[in-house]
Amino acid sequence: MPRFTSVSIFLLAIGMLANAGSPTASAADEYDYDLVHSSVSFKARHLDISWIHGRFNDVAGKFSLDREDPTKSTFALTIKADSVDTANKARDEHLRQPDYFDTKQYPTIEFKSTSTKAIEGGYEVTGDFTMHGTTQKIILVLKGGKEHDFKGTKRVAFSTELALKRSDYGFDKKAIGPIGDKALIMIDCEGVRK
Amino acid sequence: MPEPLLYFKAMGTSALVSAVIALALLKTRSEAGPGWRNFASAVAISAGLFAGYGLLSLQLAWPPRNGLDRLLTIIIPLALCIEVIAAFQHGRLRVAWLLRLSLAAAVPRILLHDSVYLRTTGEWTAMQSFATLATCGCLLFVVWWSMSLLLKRGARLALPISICLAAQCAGATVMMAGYIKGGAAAIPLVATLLATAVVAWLVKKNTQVENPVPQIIVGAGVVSLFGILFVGKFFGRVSNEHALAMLFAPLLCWISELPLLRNRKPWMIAVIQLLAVVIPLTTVLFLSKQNFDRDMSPLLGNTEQTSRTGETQSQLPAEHGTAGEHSNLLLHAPRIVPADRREGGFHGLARMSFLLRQMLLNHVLAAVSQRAIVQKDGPSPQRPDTNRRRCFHRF
Repeated sequence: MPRFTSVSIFLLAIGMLANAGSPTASAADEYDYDLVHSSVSFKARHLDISWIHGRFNDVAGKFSLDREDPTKSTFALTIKADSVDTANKARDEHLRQPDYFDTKQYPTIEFKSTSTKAIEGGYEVTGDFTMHGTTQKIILVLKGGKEHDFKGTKRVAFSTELALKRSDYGFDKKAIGPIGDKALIMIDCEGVRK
Repeated sequence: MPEPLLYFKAMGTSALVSAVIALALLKTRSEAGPGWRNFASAVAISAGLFAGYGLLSLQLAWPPRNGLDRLLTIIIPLALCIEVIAAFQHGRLRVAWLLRLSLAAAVPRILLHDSVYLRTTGEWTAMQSFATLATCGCLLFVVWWSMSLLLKRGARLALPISICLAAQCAGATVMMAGYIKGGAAAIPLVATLLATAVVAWLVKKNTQVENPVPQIIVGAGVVSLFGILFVGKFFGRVSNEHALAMLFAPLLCWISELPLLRNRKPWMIAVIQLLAVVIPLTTVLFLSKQNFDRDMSPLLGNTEQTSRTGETQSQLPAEHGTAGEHSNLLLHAPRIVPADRREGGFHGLARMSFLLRQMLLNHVLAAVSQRAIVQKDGPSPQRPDTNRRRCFHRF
């Protein structure tokens, strides 16, 4: 009996020491999208001579980062299409209509990762991007990922850009005239650890 | 961007295809009953719609992706089928009206399928959804029933014309509210319904049939009108007031049942019916145009028409002004900007009408100045100016 007790205490001590030496408490850290310090913006060509800029004001998302095994990291982002803002109220109303985003039929634009791999300076995330009711597989190169402890809250941030064609997502080809087919989306997101 | 020329082509093609097919089918069996006449009209309408939408290159998805897709690929074919089945019922009115009632109840639900309105986390509660769907279904059925009843009471061509006018007005309003594709969808619909109705009326007007206008025109017309307005209201930006005014406008054809008008000549009754329908439709169009000028016109880059400060603006020389210097001087002269252009203009039909007006004006001015040059004794310096003023006054 004394021999069993001493072995148990020894194992417990080993376990505690091992836990104390590990970099994080859990393998994957969960983060929520911080709307205050993040933005999803876009720009599209006008008459092929200039750019129209806009942003989505209502975005939510979460991601989990597994530093030890990055392939287990996941990313998800949900953008409310209704929150489109191009600094022109009439144009925003027009963009919400069925000729463009059709926000009453397709209220959200979503990204959900399916696989992740670590690259130098960030992650390469493959996932399903759904816009206007059409889902396409895309690859996002997320730059960043450095963790920062600010007033006791851990934060991590990523930036990425992607180019897409509106015609690939079922937008009406007739509406692709003065406003170009190609659009650039810039995502800068900061996550707050739960 | 609205493409007026393409719309005119689609309108003409739809009307032509429908008219030819309706004529061919109705002439082959001119003594046939309402079943055949409705079937022939359904074939003509379907062919006209295929031709019109093909020309417009309207992208319709199957399975349908949005309300407009569902209207054009499910609702309107269903309405045509129901009217054909109803026409073959030979007096069994209950079956016909049960079918129509079923479709009227289903139309709002089908059009709003999978939209934010019907999702559990969407804009409406379950109660709101039920109330809205039921109200809209009732409205459709009431209009459908009223128009059918009026047709049975002897209303002639004025009835389909008034429905088509309302549908065209609905299309223009939806377009001016910013939903261009939704508004454009009304164009082949109206053209094909009108062409089929006119052909059916011409073929049968001198015979003893109960009514030369087939019931299917009224059924498909009312369902189309409702569908365009519904899609424009719930997916576009058409206001409740405008949508209701346009839906109920054809009901003003009931004015013919007033004792004062009942015994008048048929053409007079038709004119009064159409006038009664046109008044609310014109009012809605006017208000929609005002909203368009305020909200949408600047987005289309109509900067040339937004001269608010000056009363005049210079005009570039027209390429077809070939009447020599005299003409060019006239064309270069400052011109008065009409009042309706100062607030910016509609980029579609009104813009086209404006361009046509300008072309006509240029031709008139060129012709006038050419005549002045040809005269041996030569024109007086004031003469062209006088002519120009007259032209401005006229236009």
